[in-house]
This record gives sequence, C-alpha cells and structure tokens, in this order.
Amino acid sequence: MMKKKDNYSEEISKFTNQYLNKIERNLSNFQYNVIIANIYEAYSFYSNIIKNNKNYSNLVEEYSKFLISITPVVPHLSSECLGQININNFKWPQIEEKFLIEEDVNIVVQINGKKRGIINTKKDISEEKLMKLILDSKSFDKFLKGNKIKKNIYVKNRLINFLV
Amino acid sequence: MERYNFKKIEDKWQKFWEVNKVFKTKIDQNKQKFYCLEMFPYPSGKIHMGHVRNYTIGDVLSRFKTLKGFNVLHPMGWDSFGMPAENAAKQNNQDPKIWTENNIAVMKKQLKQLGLSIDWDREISTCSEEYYKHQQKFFIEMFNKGLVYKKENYVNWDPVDETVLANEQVIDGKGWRSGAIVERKKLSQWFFDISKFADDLQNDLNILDEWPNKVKVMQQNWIGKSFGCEIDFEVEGEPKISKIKCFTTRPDTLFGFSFLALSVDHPISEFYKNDPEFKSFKEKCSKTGTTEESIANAEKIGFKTNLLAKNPLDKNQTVPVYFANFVLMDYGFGAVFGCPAHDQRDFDFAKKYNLEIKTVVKPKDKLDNFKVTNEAYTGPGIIINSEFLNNLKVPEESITETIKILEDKKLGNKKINFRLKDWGVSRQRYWGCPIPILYDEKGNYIAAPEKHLPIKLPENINLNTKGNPLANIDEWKKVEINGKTYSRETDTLDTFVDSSWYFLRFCSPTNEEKPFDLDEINYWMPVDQYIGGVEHAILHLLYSRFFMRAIGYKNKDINIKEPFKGLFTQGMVCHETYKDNKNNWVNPDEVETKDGKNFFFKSDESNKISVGPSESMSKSKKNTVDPEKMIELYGADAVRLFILSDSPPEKDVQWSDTGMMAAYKFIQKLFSLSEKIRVIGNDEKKR
Repeated sequence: MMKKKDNYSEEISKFTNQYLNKIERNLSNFQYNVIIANIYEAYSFYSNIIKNNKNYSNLVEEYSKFLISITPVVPHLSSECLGQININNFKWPQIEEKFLIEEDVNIVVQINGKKRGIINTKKDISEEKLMKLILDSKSFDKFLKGNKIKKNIYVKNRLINFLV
Repeated sequence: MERYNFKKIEDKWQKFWEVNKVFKTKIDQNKQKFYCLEMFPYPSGKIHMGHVRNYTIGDVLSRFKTLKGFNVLHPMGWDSFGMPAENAAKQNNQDPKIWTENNIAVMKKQLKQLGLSIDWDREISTCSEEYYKHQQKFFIEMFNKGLVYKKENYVNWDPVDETVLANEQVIDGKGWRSGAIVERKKLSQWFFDISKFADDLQNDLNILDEWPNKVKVMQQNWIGKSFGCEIDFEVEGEPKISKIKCFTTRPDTLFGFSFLALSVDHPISEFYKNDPEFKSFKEKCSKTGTTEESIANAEKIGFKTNLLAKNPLDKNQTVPVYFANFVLMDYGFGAVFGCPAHDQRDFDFAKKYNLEIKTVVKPKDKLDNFKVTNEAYTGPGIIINSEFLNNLKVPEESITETIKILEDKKLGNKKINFRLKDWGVSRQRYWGCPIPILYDEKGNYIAAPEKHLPIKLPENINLNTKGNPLANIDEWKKVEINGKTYSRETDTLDTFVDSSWYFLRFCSPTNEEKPFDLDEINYWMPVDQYIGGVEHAILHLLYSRFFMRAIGYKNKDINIKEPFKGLFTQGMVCHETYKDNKNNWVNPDEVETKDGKNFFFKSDESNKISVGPSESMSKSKKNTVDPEKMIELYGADAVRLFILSDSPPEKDVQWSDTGMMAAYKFIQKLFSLSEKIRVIGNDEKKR
C-alpha cells in the first residue's frame, strides 16, 4: 500500500525544536549533565516515533538536527551517522520559533476549597511561578489579603487551592 | 543489525580531522572569535580522569561554539618545566628533557584518542627553547621597567637535601622528600613587584562578571586589602630610641595593649646582634617556617628587651617590648602592638609570658563585666574599658573613629595595607627557565645583553648534587663580555611564570622574533572561556592577571588587562577507596564484588577488602581509573558521555563502572536508532 505523500508530523518538528531550544540553553550555561538527560529524552522520543516503522516526510531532516546537536558530546558517533545520511557540512540548526509557543491552560483557583476564579497561563507552569502570577495579578486580593496562606495544593495544569 | 564498531569509527574520524586539519584556526575578521582554553597539563606521564573531565568540558563548548558559527581557537600545550621531571630524572638517571618529551608523546596520543577539537599546529611546550627564550626577554623587559628586584628573603630550607622548598612542599613542618624539619633561611632572591598592582588586581575583580564568585572571594582574601593605621609608639629605656612605627588593623583595641612585638629583623635588632642570648633566640626563630599556617601553629616565643612602649592614647600606660617569632619584617613595619584579649596569637603569647589580658570588646549580648579568659574574642560587639572609645560598635564604628582620633592628635595615620606579598620567582633548581642575569666579579648584576640570549639550559648534566645543579657547572656559569668575566645567575624561574603568559603564546605560537604578534592577540584575546580546577583559583590566575598588567605597563600598544573573561572551575573525579587487611591501598582493578556489599581480591576470593569513602582520584590512594583503558574498552564517545552525565560540571563526579557501562550501551542504542531512521528514510525515497 502506498503511504500518503504528505505525511508530515507536526509532533516531530515540535519536539525537535523544543529539544534544540533546551539543549542550546543548557550548552550555553555549562548545564552539561542536563544535556545528557536531554539527549536521553530525545532518544526515547524518536524510538517511540519509529516503533511501527512508519516514515514521515520530516523525520530524517528533524532527526539530523538532533544528530548535529549531539556532536559536541559524541563527535565520532554523530559525524558517522550524519555522514551516512550524506550530511557532511553542518551548522547548528536554526530553531523555528513557531514550535516554541506553548499551549495555554486555564487553571482553577480555589481558596479553602471554594472556586474563586480562573487564571490563564502557559502550560506546565511551576507552582512557584503560578503563585507569583496569582499574587501579582491582585485579582484574588479580596480573598487573600489579610490572610496568611498556610498551605497550597497544586494539581499541575488544572487547579490550585490555597488554605488560608 | 551491525554492532557499532567504535574503534574503527573513532579512529576513522580522528584521522579525518587530523589529515584535513579540520580544527586549524586563523584570524577571520568576518567572524566573531571565541577563545576557549583549558588549563594546560603538566606532562607527568599519562592523562588522568581529571584531565578527561576538564578537556571534555572544553571540547563540548568549543564544538558548540564552532557549530554556532564562531571562529574558535582551541589550543593545547604542555606546562613542562618543574620538579617532578627533575626528581624522576634523579631517580632513573635520565635526562629531564627526555623524560618530559616521552611523557608528552604519550599524553598527546591519549588526548587525540579522546577526539578533542584541538588545533595541534599551535602546540607549545614551556620547556622548549622556542618558548622560554621569549620569557627571558619578558624578564629583561620587566627588569628594565623596574618591576623586578632582588632582595633577601626567608625561604623554607631543607637542611638534608640542601634545597629550597616551596610552601606546598612543606608538610607538617617537614620537607616532603627528606622528612627533615624545615628551617627558615635567608637567601637573596628575585622578585616580581606584584604589589604595585595590588589595588588594581583587587578592584578589577568587580568587572569579572563571568567568574565564579567563590574564586573572586578567594583572590580578594589573598590580596587582602585592609584599612588600618600606622601608629608611632613612644618608647623609653635602653637602647635610646624615640619611636617604633607599627601597622594595625585594630587600632580600636589600643586600650587592651599589653606588649609590643618586633620581628627579629627589625632595625632595632642591630643593637642586640652581639648579644649571645639574642643570637640563640634568633636561631630558634629560624625553626619556624615562613607560611602563615606554620607561623600560626608554631609555639610563640619572645625575647624581652629593656624597652618600654607607651600607649599613645594613655601615656601613663607602658608595656614591655619583645622580639617575637610570629612577626615578620614583610608585613606592616615588622612591628605590631599586642592586644591579647582580641587576637589569638597575642593571647597565646601573653599566656606564655604572663602578660596582662585586658578585655576591651564585649559581644552585644554580654554585660560590661565581660572578660576574655580561655581564648581571644575576635567577633563584633561594643567597646568597653576604653575611656573615650567606650560604646562604639565593633567593627563598623570603632576602627574609623579611633583612626580619626589618632589622626586628630597627630599620633597616627590611616593606611591601606595588603596581605599580598611580592612574588618570589627564584628557584634553586635545574629544570626551569634560566634567569637572564649576569654578575660581574664584584657581584653587581646586569641584564644579559640581547646577543647573549637565549640563555640555554645546559643538557646532560649531573643532577645528583647538593643544592642547585646549575651552580655546580662552572663552564656554564662563566661568560666573557668585552674581556670582562661575568657569572650567570643560576636560579631558574618559578614555573608559575611559564603559565602566566602561555595563553598569549597560543595566539602566535611560531613567531620566532616576538613572544606574540600584536594583531593576533588583539583579535584573539581575552580568553573567552577558561576552564580548569579550582586549586588554581588563587596563584595561577592572579599571576596571569599580574603578567598581563606587567606587559601592558609603560606600553601603549597593549590594552588588555584581564586575560580571562570567563572562568569555569570544574569539580573533581572521585572513586571509592579500597584497603586490604593490612591497611594498604588497593587499586580498583584488583577488586571484585558479587553482591555490592562484600569486596575481595579478584585473584583470591578469601582475601577481603574494606571499602572506604569516595575521594578524588589520586595515585597515592590508588583509587584511579586509567582513561586509556576505558577508551580502549568503551570508546571515547562513551567516556565523554559518562564523564558529563552524572553530576553538574562544577561539582565532583563519582566514577561508576555501571554508569560507564550504561553510557557505552547508550552509544550502541543511538547508533542503532540512527541506522533504523536512515533505513526508513531510504525506503521512502525508493518508493
């Protein structure tokens, strides 16, 4: 059976660009142990993608960007693998900004278990950043002001509950 | 699917890089430059895991910057003068040069096996004449600019080996090789005037915003700028002297004054030079080392004079004047006032000689009757028992207020003092850069004339002599200039001099005429990222910073002050330690375990081994892992991957065999994934 001609996978491009963004940042900050973790993560991703031996029009191209990105760490292996796909001269891949935009999520804000509103923010925001966002927004001041926050419970991307 | 044959492939790419000179660098004005430098190694024999970590970190950065489009300079060389070559040569009756060159050959091969992106055409070796001849010119340039001088100074003297020891070669007051108790001895030596730049070296730490803070703090403490006060103490008694000048950082404790201590080299000692008791006291002092540590630990001893010193703030109070072993001539004026209650050294001294201990500072939470009894109180607090100084806050008010009072009464002056001492560069050794100085028959010295340079180190000489081997070669020492006979300086330069400018040499390593080409250093310098161990945080970095300033001093062409823009200090590589039942260290190679709990000799299962804490790899503890063996077994990529993986680069990393194995397996898996993706991609093209 013929495969569809235009079997482009946005997932692959999105992952690759976000990965490149991370590894570039970590390379610039001497976070070299984190780079290795990034590489392991990318390995798992691509292994999963090709589980059913299915090809995508952007697979080799995006994977080659990954190979370039590991050259600083494992130069022999990456030079060899890139050579195998006829890439001999290469530069650090350009990151496509459009893939870095993260989805927004609406997080329910509760105070003592009662819903007091909703806050729109970036996906996977940390608890610390979310707290700051909520406090800075001042929208919940009438519930929070004068009360001491004893504890807060955060369900990632969904809900935060302040116990005051 | 085919296994990834790392040996074949790593070899193939290393050859490719070498043959095609892929990492060769030259000036390219259209590109932004990036100078990445790792501290160059001492060629001790083989590379160790610390090198692997250091150079892998640098290589990752260099390769990344190259991929980002920078013109990257990533050189390597050898810090090849120094003691180990001389010692090894003595033991094996080999020429230090041959020993060194053999080691360089081995280590260079090993570094290449790591797949480093180094421009090997820029390789330098500090023991080569091509390198040290420029260093001799620097010395003469600095001599002519007045930055080099000669003075008598105390050194650590090993009476058995009859040689001078560096501070770090004195271990628990004993010579590291002979085990003999080290003495203090005066020798006439060459010094670099680093203190001329002390203020600058301290202030400019502020512009080094890409340096770790801890390193800047260490440098700051080493330079040790302190505000204090010089005070003239009136004295009475015999001999007739009117005043003794002291420097102090704690004038606020003047009311706690109970003695005045002088260095045995203080000008006043002239009056005692024929006193047999003083002579034997001086002799005893020479047994105290010259390091701050040895002075702090040594027993405090004193020699009482017939002088009495007056407290400048209370002329009715007079105290005895001593010579003491803990006062050195090169700090302050070789004279300090003693306040036992608030300085531990003074406290020890006062206890020994039964001097008064007057408490003049109390902690904030204590009553006014607070008394120092068991040890000096050096913390903050409030001034007490000090008349008009009472109630001042220590230290924020008390020091400046007291200085003001002393200045108003014309009793003293505010003064800035540095802990940093001038850099003694003379070494009584063979394997170093000869100092280009000549002495005439009267002992007057001149810089060696241009046409007599370079002064080559003689080869194939007898090293098994007492003292400096160079001093024993008369035919080398003797020089004739215009019919006059001169004798060469036989001291060689501290090897820290060699490493104080090598980063400049890398910019134009083959220039025969000059140490560096101005255009080249203007393009490449400063080093954008310098990477190395934190053990060099003080001396090497400070000396390099000084050297850059010394080169630029009275020279309008040089505008570089700071040689290293960014600094990164990596952690150490650690490994468990093993000992046999006789308490001898055992190499990990000989150790085996089946359950991870019980360890025994591979060769003899009944012979148990005890596991000690993980410590930084060192030959003495035998807890080393040989990089060459690991590369042989698992490949360079796997070793690089492992050494980066487990720990942030600035922290220590634990060596683990299982971690190494996992890295190896991951390389295999990555290759196989790449193959699969390539095949899938090819299938698509065929359709």
